[in-house]
Amino acid sequence: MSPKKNGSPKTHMEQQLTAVLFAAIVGLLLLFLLASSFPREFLTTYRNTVPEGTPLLGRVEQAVQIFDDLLVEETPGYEGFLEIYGAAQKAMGKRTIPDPNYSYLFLTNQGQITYQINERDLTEPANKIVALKETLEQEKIPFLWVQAPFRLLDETEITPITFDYGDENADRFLAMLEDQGLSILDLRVSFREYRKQGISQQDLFFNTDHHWTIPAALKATETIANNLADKYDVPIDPTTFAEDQFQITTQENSFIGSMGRRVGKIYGGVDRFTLVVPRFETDIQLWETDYGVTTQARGSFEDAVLVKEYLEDPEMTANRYAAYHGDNEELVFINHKVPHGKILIIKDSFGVPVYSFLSLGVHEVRALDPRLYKGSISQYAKDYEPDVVIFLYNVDSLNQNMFLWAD
Amino acid sequence: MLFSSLTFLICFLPLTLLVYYTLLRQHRRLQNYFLFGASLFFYAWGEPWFVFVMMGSIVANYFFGLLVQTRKKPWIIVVMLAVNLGILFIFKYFMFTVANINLLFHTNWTTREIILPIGISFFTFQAISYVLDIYRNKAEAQKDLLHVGLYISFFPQLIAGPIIRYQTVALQIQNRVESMELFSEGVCRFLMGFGKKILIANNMAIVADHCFRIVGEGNGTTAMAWLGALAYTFQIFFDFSGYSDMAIGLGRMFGFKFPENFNYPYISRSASEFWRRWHISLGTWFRDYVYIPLGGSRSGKGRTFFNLFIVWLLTGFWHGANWTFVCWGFLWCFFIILEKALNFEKKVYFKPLGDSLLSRRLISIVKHVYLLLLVMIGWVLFRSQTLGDAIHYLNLMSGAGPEPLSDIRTLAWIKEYLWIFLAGILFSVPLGQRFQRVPAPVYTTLLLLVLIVSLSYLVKGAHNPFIYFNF
Repeated sequence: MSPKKNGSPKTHMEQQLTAVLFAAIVGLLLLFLLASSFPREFLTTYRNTVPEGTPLLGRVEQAVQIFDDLLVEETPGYEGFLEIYGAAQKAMGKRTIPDPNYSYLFLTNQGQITYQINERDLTEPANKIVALKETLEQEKIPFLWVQAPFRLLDETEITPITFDYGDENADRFLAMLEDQGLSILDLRVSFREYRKQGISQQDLFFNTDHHWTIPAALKATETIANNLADKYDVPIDPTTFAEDQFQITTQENSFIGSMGRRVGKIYGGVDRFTLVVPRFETDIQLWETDYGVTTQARGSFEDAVLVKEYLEDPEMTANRYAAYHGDNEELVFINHKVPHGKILIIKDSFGVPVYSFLSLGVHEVRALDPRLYKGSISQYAKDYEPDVVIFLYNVDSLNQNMFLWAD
Repeated sequence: MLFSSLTFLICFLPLTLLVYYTLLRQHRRLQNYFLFGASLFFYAWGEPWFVFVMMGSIVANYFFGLLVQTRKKPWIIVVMLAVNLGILFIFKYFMFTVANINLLFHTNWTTREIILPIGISFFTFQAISYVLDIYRNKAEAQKDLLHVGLYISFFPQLIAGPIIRYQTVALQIQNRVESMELFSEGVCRFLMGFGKKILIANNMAIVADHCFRIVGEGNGTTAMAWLGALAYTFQIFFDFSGYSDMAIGLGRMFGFKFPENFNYPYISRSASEFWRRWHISLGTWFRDYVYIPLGGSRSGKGRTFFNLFIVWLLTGFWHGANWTFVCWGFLWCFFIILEKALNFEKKVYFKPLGDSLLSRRLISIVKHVYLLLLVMIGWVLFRSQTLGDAIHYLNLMSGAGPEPLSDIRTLAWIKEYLWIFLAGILFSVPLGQRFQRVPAPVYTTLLLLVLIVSLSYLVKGAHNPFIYFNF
């Protein structure tokens, strides 16, 4: 677009004004960047990442990589730019958002932001679960696979340009387990039933986060408890998890989940967050172990289990879902109000509210997160001798990386 | 480093401008040395090894320049070409050559994987033009090695052109005049290019990548193949011309005036016209350093066609070491020769309808449709990994295969990227230049909006491909 060839040149005044403002914007961004934690973060990351003895050019290459990656996250006004990006996508009516981590995020017809799940070969993971079940069978420890839903993406809810193999993957995976005689509780069935009963998608899943809502997790816990009581003789009273046993507090426009944080609130909106705590008296002791360090707390469910920082943080992007004590290598819940019952649950992040609620119904619940726990699960179960071992994974966790424990 | 990166825009560029216009103000020699150093830093960012290849090229061509200035011997040119093209051959064509020898003679030669230094074709051609211009007495050899270095490596045009002739900038290196007017023009031009690259080309890349992948997997439809070809047609234009705009704009910010590289190529009505408007600096380089030295069009039709064949063979190879690029070059060669043989460009009305306005309009439309079809077919060849992929894609576009004509996905993709397609159309034709005539506050606001929204795409880490790795 040569001003000379292609139309009348702009007068110097407006070009100069543009130039001055351009210089001011990039200059200020640079100044704020230098004054931010970026230089220190860069040096720290460099020192922690680049091994000593790396050749000079290798160091330069890695330093460049660290600089470029860090700069994106540390750009002054990052959240403001993200909102502008989201606003631009919204203005254009875009339903798909390219994303460096998820390839694409997309907006469902229900107004929920999610990502697409590719077709996966799940033969090896299925074999690993079958082997684990057989080992536990020899020890007379029952095993239950609980399949958690992920969004319930029926064809009518996604745009034709996206795809989602999540449910297909899960169907194939569960068929492989069933062929080998494993017991399965497919929560997708009950969740679809909830939808038919008129419960909205928003009541079951956050709009801006990929997890189920806390009330939905409570429903899932009740279904699991029913199953454990009926089929496994686990001494658990399913009525413990009835909705009327809990105080339910909803705070509107208070939570932006991990998907929403990637597209901004103009595009993704803000979720309500519903806190669910027992009305009855509780006395829970909780040990959490991470990286070899164990800490302990005892008190009511609210005091011992809930991580209040996530709830009290005024930032809507605070991970409120993790208030139910999320993502630890090992958690041990002892319920001093219930004398019987031991459950070992191997879980992904969908299990966070579930194990917390389950701890209200039995004497002891132990939870392992295979992303962090690298020991032998079968050995752990043999030593612990629970009434049942539950594996709770959502549809997206059916991938090789979630089956890497040492068995 | 890429212009379309946060590192460039909020770190490298403001710091370079700051040092250039404050600390080194009034010191032309120091400014030039600084720009040379900054250019080496720019090039070394990400791939530090390759900066030594470029520095080797600079030193070698500096001495070739001095030598050819004093002794106008053809052998110096032969040696210079052998060195420059030798470097290019090793990095760009060696693996391709070995692979084809293995295929042809059933041998089993192996090579280490050779990574192509970014922009090697651009800076090699600039280096060659430097020595050739001195040999032809069109320029004086530069006595200062660092100034030769600045000419060859100056970061605005280093990785994606335009290919600058030494004679164009020889005087500017020492005697350019920076001014607020030129700087401001440069900023505006840079912002236009930045927006073209980030907002149009990168979005079109998503559509093109998707369509080519789906068609490659055998799940495409005819409409999707056309959509992918159209998206790539926009992607490559806005990416390449966006980079050229940014390069020209950056040059102006530092007082340099670079030649234009694109002039609305998609409004052309013949293959010859298209190449007068597309990547102008490459076309004129081949014209001046290959076509005319071979005899140009002065030695009869047969010789002219042969000369064109050589130019297009080289043009194809210049774009990449793959038979798809060679075939793409031959495609253009064939139609340019055909047009010359038929006097195509001089036919301005349909003979049966006489010389009327309707007749002129009609032929103009037909020629335009012909050119756009040719361009899109060419880009399919250009974009495909293999000739087999290209044939499969073109076959699907023709509608001759068993695949469905369209499906709901294609419409959804169009809907999803409708605004970007419309922007692509608008800025492919001179209608977009009306933007230059909007009132001053609107002009400034729109350009700054382009900057802010483009920055938001970079912060988001949106798709930001670099498509010149082959060049």
